[in-house]
Amino acid sequence: MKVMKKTHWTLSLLLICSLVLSACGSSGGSDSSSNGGKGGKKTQVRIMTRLSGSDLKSKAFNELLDKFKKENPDIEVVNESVNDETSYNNKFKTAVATGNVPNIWMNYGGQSFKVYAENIAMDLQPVLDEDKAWSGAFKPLFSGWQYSDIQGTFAVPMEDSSVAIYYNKDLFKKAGVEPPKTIEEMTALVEPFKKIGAVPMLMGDKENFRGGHLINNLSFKRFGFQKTEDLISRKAKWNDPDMFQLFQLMKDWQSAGVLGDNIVTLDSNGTTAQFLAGKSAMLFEGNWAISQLSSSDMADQIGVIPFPYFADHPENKDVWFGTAGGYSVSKSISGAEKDATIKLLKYLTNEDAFKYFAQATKGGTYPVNVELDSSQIDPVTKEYMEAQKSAKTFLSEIETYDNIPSLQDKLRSEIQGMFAGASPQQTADNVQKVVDSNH
Amino acid sequence: MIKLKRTPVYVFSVIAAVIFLYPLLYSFFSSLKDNVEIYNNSVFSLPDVWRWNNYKMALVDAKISRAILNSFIYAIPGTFLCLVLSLMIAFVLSRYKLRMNGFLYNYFAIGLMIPVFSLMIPISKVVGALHLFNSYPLMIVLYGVFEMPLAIFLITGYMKGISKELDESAIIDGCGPIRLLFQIIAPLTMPAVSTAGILSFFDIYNDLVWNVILISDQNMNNISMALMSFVGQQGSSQLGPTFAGIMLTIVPTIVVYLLFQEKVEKGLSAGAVKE
Repeated sequence: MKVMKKTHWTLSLLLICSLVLSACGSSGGSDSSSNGGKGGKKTQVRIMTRLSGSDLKSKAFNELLDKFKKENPDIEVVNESVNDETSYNNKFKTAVATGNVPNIWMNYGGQSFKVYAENIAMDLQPVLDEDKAWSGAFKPLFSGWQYSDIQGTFAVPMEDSSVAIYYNKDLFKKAGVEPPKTIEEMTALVEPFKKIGAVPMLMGDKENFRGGHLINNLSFKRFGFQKTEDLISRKAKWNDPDMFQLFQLMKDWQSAGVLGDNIVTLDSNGTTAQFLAGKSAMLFEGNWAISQLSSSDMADQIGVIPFPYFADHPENKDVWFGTAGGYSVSKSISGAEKDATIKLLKYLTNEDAFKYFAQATKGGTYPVNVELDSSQIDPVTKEYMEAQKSAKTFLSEIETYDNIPSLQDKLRSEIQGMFAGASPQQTADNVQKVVDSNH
Repeated sequence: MIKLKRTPVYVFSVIAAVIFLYPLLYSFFSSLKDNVEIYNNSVFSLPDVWRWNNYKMALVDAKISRAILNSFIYAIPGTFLCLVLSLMIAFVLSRYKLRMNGFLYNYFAIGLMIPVFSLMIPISKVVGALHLFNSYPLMIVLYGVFEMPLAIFLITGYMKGISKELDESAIIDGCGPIRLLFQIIAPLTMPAVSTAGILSFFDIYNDLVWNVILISDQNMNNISMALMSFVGQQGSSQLGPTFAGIMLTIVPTIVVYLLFQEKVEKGLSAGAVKE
């Protein structure tokens, strides 16, 4: 009898547990149950971005989504954003492989996106043409989602990224030197800064994209877009004398102490932290760092300069390394779902939305020109915008124009290997091998 | 004399304690610092300013408390499910002489060798077809089943060492198979069950991959997802609040460990010596 009672108790407990959990599950799972408006009147729109977390931009993004939901009670927005790059890629690729592509997703375009443009992304050109008031405000940042052999535009820009050099005005004053204008001036900075216990431009390549950004900047300042065109058309090689000298220059900077002595093990957070602690005079970083720098104690002491140019190639002085992130839309949607998706897309990328981002983050640079009262803008953004005024052309990474998907990974890891000890020649040869093995 | 002999043991114990406690202490001090202090000050230094606000950020911005609750919602029933099923399978594999047993044992053991990444797409496809994204029951079943190969492997091995005469005398006294398993064999298998349980619990508690793929409702995020809240888009992260989050998430695991400490330690040495 006792055993029977115990068994009943256990079974009842299990039943209660499963009921409670099922209830929780169904409330959480309501996202999928109302798919396509089958379960109710709401039309579901799923969006996947990397704007998730506690930073100001992500918070502003969530607030915008909330506002949209309030204004459009008939549309249910499912935010599937993940900020971590690897997790985002895993989630997105799994979604594609399982045919569960989100209505809107964030990406960086380029050749690596071409396969998505061909298969799952909607051509947004008709949408852009239809609403000139919205599309006319964008800066010319669409090239990353346009292809010579496929008709259409497969995303609209949602962020404008570029890379410059932040510098510590105080440290430069103490060292008695001026911020560098040319590449040739970089090495000369080592000694003055050594005397005050600092490094000219500490670099951390642990995550390995920094080395990729550096060689791209050097290539653009040396050759403009010509070398990129020659490399992707295979007229030029990664190990030809032109490119070799760039690898060699990076190695020389490392040996001279321009970049510090801890390149491979230092990460981005460490680099920024040491810049803010006055141990590095310059920080080679993108505009995404503005909010972090402007919230530091030394925000007023931070200046911004464009990446230095080669003294014998002043014609490329105003070429900037810059790229844009964009929103693509799934081409499998139609009817009310498509209308709701486009509505959300426009809501997140119109001038008001970017103004909202600018106010929430107290600055930043955006794919449309945002006019803000100068008292509302943080000092670092002001400096950045001032430096960026000189920019005449923005070029994305060479690898994004290339049709070999693994080239970017290979280039970045080879450069990391070079900082760890490999020779520039070996590095250049290994990168070229990837190109050769794909043809 | 005896005391002198013990001195090296004490010295060694103190050194070991310092080595093992150091990461915890480092995490605690870092949870009260900002990035500049973490990267620039000595690893042994105290925070310049004690930033208790980091804990507030972890609790409010990253919703760590909700994430801990979610991790428990996944881990406790998931572990329970895994142990009940594994016990039943191990019972058949170790106490019955069936022809299929060798094949079945290998079949379950192969599960240990399948990398989790190879399952991502097929499982997502099934979950998508069943419209079961963002579902607690699904996650619990999935986690429970993933942990089964190791649990079966551990429990079967231990159960095989228990004398079969026990079964025979129980059966003679009229004991059925269910009662035999849960009232006689299972209590004797507790060291292995505890080990499997603890390993499964922590595996589920710390999972990242499945939560990323199958959960999009932020209220259902587990601790690994919540800890990523302070990672920015280009890898920049606020390490102070992240460490604060880590401190908050390890408290429950320490409590679980202290509660089951004896069982875990026994379990770890279970089967090491044949009695």
